[in-house]
Amino acid sequence: MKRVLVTGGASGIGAGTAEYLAHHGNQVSIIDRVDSSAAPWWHALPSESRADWIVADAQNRVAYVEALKSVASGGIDGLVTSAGISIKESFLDSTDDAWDQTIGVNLMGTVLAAREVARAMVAAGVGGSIVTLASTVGSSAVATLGSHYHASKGAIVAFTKSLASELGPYGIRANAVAPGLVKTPLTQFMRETLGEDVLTERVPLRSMAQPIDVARAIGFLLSADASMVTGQVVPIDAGQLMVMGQPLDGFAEVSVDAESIAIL
Amino acid sequence: MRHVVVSGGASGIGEAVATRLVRSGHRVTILDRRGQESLGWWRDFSPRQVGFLSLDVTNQEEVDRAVDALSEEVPLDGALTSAGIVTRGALLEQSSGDLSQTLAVNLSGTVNVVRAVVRNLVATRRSGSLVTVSSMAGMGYVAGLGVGYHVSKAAVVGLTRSVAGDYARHGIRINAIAPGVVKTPMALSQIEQQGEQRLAARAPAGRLAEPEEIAKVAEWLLSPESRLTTGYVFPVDGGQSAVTGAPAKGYPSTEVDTRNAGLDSMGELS
Repeated sequence: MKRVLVTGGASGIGAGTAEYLAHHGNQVSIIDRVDSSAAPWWHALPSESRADWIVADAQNRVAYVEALKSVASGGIDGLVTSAGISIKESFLDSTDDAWDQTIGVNLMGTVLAAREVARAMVAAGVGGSIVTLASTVGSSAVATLGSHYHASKGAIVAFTKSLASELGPYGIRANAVAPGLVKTPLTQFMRETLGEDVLTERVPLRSMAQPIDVARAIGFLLSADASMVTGQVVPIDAGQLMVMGQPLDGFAEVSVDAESIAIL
Repeated sequence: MRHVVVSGGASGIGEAVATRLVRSGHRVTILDRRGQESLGWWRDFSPRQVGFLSLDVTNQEEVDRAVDALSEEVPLDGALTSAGIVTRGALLEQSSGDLSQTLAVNLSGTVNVVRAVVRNLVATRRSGSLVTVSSMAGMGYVAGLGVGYHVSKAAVVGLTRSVAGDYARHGIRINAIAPGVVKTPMALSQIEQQGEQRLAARAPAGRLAEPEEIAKVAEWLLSPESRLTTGYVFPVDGGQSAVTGAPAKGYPSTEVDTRNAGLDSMGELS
């Protein structure tokens, strides 16, 4: 059984990913500032798929690193860094505090987790795979999401490429996923203020992702099926990132069942 | 069971994708200028599992006719367009014949297959997924790959995005893969001339890709696992495109093979 750590696994993409990986035969540990270890979905997992649930906040670095070390020391094959926050402030009104928090959780949380896990993987000499959480805002502007959030995700993109370069010789791959709009607590404010129609009209496939959609891409990148993929940023964005000029009335409704937009 | 057209399916990346799909129970129709006798594994499967049409993808009428005919037998669900050639001359060295031949096969050949398949999907009101084959040379500069190859592979990127945006409304997804150097017959002369280790040292992976490793990514893009990814150019390059400044002596070959690292496959794609 392969061992994987998911940070930010209590909710949103992290929880969806932890659940997905556990159901695909992996043993999952979670580090989150929230304790949801009593949640039904966690208990519904096969007991051998559930390892640690450690409550720790990336902003408390000493405790966070301690939690990371305790998970990584048991041996580790994969890491997903999905702990992330977004603070609603315009750039002109943005506060130092919000910048510190966003960079602290999103960027430094990712860095600390990757460092501890990579050290453990190198020491064990078995290689591994790391997936970080970038976003469409990691390479372009999305209105209403804070400038600090953009900066943190852009930094994660460059950080992940650097990881791929430094860790390649140890057989460790590092990639990012770039979700567009996903139905999670983090995007609730945006979905409620702008409306889901406005948001889906921006994207060719006219859909909003569920956490499971992102989980599938993360699972693929963590697995040996992606053995030649490293340093990449894979969008799960319904086509949003490639669009440089959307149709004036938005993209048209998809005329066939959107759930079946796929084959095999 | 799905039905996928694979152009250039008689060798290299196309062949790797075709065999994987057929082995997992899908129907594949190969379009290739070679004859079907060039496929060693052909006899292991029945004509219901794998079809073969010998044709030239640069001939638009032939491609249109072939796609209509093969979809009448079993309705189509998607395509991989991997027919391609490589020419290596720089701008001042490449003959205009070589340049136009490279554009004809790599660009027009891809357009022809994509157009025939998209037209068929729209007409039959079926959703589908297509994967085109670009290259590192379609995303940036690669020494030794020449002008025709760069131009044609960058054009494949433009084709992919244009079709992704315009036909999403019909439930059609299309993405490109952008491999680095893959151990295929096409790359053989490059590997022999420049040396496998020297080529591999350009990317963090420190080794060249096997066709199978490219095929797995193409298969993921064809499958419902990637249902919200379209218009993406997916580099499968051992990290080559992520690096603009490699270590002085290049990347070493790794002691740990990434095919045995990380998590196990998430399982057979549905």
